[in-house]
Amino acid sequence: MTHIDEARAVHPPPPPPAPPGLTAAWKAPEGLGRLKEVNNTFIGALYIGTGMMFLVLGGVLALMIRYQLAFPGNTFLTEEQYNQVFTMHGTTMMFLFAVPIMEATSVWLLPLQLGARDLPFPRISAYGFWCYLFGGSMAYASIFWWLAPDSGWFLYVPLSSQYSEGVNNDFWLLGIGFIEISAIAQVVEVLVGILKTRAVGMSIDRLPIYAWYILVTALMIGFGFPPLILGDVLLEVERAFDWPFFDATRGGDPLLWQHLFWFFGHPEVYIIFLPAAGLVSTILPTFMQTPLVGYTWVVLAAIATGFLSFGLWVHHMFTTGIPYLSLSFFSAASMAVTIPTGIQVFCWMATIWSGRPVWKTPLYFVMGFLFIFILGGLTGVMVAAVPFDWQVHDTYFVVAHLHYVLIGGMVFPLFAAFYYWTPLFSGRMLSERLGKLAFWLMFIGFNVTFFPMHITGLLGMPRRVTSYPADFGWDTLNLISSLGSAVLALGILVFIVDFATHLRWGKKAERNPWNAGTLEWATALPSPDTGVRSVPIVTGHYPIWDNPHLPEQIQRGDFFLPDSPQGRRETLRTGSVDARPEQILILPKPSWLPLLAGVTTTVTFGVSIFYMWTLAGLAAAATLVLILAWAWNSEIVPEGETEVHVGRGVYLPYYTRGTQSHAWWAMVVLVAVDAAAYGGLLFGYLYTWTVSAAWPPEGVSGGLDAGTAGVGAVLLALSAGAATLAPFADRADRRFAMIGLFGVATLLGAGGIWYLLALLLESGFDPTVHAYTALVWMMVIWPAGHIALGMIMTLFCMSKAAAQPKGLAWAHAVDTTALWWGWSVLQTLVSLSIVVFYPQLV
Amino acid sequence: MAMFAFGLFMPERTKGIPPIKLIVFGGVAFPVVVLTALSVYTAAVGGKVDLGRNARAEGREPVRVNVDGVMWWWEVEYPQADGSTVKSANEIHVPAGRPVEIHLTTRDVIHSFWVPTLHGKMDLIPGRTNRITIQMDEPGVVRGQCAEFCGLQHTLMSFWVVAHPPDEFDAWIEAQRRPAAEPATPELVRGRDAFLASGCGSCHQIRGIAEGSANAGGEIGPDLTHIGSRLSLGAATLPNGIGPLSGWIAGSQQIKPGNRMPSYHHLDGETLTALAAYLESLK
Amino acid sequence: MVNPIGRDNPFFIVTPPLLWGVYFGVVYTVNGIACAKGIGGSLVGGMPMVNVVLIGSTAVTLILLAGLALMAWVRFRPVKDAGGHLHSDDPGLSAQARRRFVALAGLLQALLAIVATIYIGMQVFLSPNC
Repeated sequence: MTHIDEARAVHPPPPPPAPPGLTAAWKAPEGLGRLKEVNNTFIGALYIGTGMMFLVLGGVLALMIRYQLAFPGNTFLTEEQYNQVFTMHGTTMMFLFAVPIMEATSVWLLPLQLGARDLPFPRISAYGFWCYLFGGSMAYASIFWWLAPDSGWFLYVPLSSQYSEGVNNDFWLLGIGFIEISAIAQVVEVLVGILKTRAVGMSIDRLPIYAWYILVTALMIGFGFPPLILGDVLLEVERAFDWPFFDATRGGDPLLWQHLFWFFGHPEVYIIFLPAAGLVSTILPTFMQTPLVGYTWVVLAAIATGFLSFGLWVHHMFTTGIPYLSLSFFSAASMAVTIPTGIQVFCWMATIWSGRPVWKTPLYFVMGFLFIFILGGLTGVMVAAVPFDWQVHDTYFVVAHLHYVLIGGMVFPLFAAFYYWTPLFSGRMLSERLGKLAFWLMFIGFNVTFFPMHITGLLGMPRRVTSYPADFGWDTLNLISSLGSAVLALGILVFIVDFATHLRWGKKAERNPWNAGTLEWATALPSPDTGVRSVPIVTGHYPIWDNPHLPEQIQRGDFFLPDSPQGRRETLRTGSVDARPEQILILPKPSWLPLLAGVTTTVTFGVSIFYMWTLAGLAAAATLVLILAWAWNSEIVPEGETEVHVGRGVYLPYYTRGTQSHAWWAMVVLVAVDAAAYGGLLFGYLYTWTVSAAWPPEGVSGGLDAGTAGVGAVLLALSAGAATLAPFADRADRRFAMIGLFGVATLLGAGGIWYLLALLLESGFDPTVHAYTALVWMMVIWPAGHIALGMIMTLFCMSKAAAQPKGLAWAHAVDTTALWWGWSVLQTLVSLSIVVFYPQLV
Repeated sequence: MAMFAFGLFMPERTKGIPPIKLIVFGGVAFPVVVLTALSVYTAAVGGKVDLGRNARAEGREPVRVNVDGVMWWWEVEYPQADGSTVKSANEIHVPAGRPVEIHLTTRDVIHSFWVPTLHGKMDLIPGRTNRITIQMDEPGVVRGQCAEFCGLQHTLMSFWVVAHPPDEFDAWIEAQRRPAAEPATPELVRGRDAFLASGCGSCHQIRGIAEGSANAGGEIGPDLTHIGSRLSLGAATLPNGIGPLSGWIAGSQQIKPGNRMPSYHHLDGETLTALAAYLESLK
Repeated sequence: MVNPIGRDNPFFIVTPPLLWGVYFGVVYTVNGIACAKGIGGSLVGGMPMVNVVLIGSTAVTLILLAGLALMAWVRFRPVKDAGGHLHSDDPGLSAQARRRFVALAGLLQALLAIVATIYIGMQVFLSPNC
């Protein structure tokens, strides 16, 4: 690795200052106005900070649990309080800490690593972040009044529905459900970011390995979260309006909830683990001073894990009496998923074998991760075996297993990442001495806490018990666990102290302090608001190791987009496969709109918890207005310029439309995500059919027949036709034809759904009598809601095209609206054919 | 892990090995072989765990017991050959050495039936009947508990499995089948009258007292016809006996907060003792 | 129309696991419905019909996956030594490296999907249906 040594030897002269136009464009607003900032570097840092806040808050709950269980028969917490504490511990750690902080890290790190100034949708990121901060705080705060959810983080029905009266579980359904939506906002952001805003030459086979992991993770979130969101909606509708989706006395099935929950819940583990593995795969080569061995194999492992992990969900339901062969399928898939994980571990091992370790704090955390995670993986194979699981399911053995996998697999890599990337954030190094202390405290504390739980579990201690008698032999082990948890907490405290003090007293970092090879280290420290000074050309996985002079060249502005003469925020859009430069993407300026929309969205969900529907409707309307205002000012088209020089003789356009554009891709992602939710609804319908004796059940009257549904279907199909033609008209510069076509689509769509809903209502088809009627209603209302949303979009396009605002275009709005409309109508047609023909078919 | 240490601490030794070989052999071949074996073995064991299927295959018909989970106790029914059933609670009596097929249902939320020393878990799910077959080889008593979080008093939802010598099991069933014993002393009579007068019967049943009275046929709480013969009270919360019984009646909300039985703390001491003594006499 | 399994389309990499996903959904659904509705028990050639369906889907999936693996192998062979061109500035050479990456990743995915499919498929012989 001679070029690595060479990189070490380079002492660059101070780079020339960035041109004033560029600095001005990316300058963050001052004072309170800083909250307007949408730059991912800023939002990402806040996002990570919020995630850490929830780690501490969830950790406090964990300490309360451990204190309660330290002694047999302890009465520190009542049963009621204990149930809330453990429910919120799980909920906070999973939904408010683990997933968001991993998304936060990617939002913060990816632009730097990809060589983008920023990801393509900074305002969506910002909006998602504010929703997360407000919604998460709202959900968590419920525990201060002992009103927190108390049915476990998995919220099993009917304990969480008919047998839970207070608002406790509404906090979960509306608070957490809403955060999941913000998670999806980040999915759109990072997916399109990775595919579209890379450095030139960063083709698909030169993508930083971390970006591959995030790509897979984002796809998994996009596929796994929507069914859960759908489940949340169904359960909330059951609680609020008595539609019996899960009520066994009215034909529903509580297991449907478990399917929807675990279809998300198991991939969730990998959603948390894969980004962490990406961090490890990035950090490890630096401290071995050698490239990651087996890049293709690691990519394979990440992708395969992503897919296979969706074949595991039932392994949380081994004890529910599902057919044995079906269990075996899931057991087999659980075994199969360990193969890619094994490949990954061996790639790391091979990397270690081919390098020489530099023992710094991040490497300690990575090694701690490997040790703990491998143990967790072994117990994972054990619980994948159905008979073994029957025994240890819902015991402390599983508690031990999951904490080995999650804390080992995610928290240790996260801390490695903190120690590794902090210089990029603050320009200063964290303390090696405190870092190692924190590591040893956390490592020892962790093992002392959770190793004994394996034994407690095998001794038969079930989970979620408030206390236990003294004579079962569980007391000493529990006391040891509790003491260990205090040590673990102390380790985290040491880190927090280290971080707080380093901001003032930490050693100033030199550029690329770890002599790393990935692009983020090419920037000046701390990384400036502008992000990368000029968008470089890369020719490998480790651009700095390939070309030790790269950082200076970037700083000199030798590459693309070194300036912003018009003072706009810009980045390059490159081809998704070969990363050729294709367009200059104009990014939005700071704005209050995302923050305000976050506030109104929070109000919408917050007041819904107390079933204050009028207020919720008003807040939702306000959110809509804010978002439309924001959309109105997007799609900036600079006047007078069509193609401009971006450097090195390359001329690029400011504006493109069609399947190349980032907006089109974002809508495709959104439709795919939405399709997963709709898939969950279809599954719910079919699943409920399999558990019902008759379909439709006895005594149900009304509904849609082929004739009435057919009329509605024809109207909607025609509307879809009109909407699909609209972009063609617009592209041919026939503005009024486009407006007319969207107008027709809107009218036909409105007529179609009004007709269907009115008929359904008139036929006396009552959604509260049976799960069947509830599902049929939902199958119609769900896509109808999509069309209603589509009508707002068509009206928006029509108004914008009619008004022709100066300097703004509407092409993306038209294209994406047509896509959305087509998809909504497709859903409706599928729904109609199923609700009409399926009962006849069976 | 040893391999990691090898790479970390003896870097010069590992340089000669092509990394791709390590990945292919260590990361692919080895796990595939181990997992295939494990998978086959798991499936084979899994097939055997179903005692009921095995017993039937050997021509031994299992004893049938119905267990209904209720927040937070267990109702146990023994269906008899003549179509009648014998009801009890929080204890499952079985003949030693014979497979017992338990039909699991729930009256409210999801519970999970688990006797750690006998078998894995099986959930009780609304709208479904799940089955599990257990067998105790020797006479004795083991503890079981609810293993799926089921709300406030999930912690205090345990039960006992009591295995009788095979020849004594039928006698036990016969004894359980009989209606409650008539009160033999004035104190016990007073206790019975207190039972009826305090409205206990709207939730609990004692077969044989005040037949036909609306005050003695409740089905919300456990059947108390032979409560005196049970090992414990409140789903294995307290030991049985006159003291714990009166404590439970007077303060069940203090002992097991949130359970469905109100505390009868307004009963005077003598009535309470008489009531407890009466219940204790129902062997 | 973009060819999803085209030589230069990275989507090719995820085709095998996607196919596995569809297969998994199918066998799970078939067995689930068969057990819930008590259908599929009638014997065909000494085996319950549902098992015949399951084994059939396994076979079809394996054949398709083998086809993908073969396709990947055919694409991989000519560029097998192009790994060194990863760092090349030359668009032609770096395109070869990219092809090698897509083909190799696709090949590995197909092989892994085959293993996963066999794992699932063999359960039919090892476990009772319901």
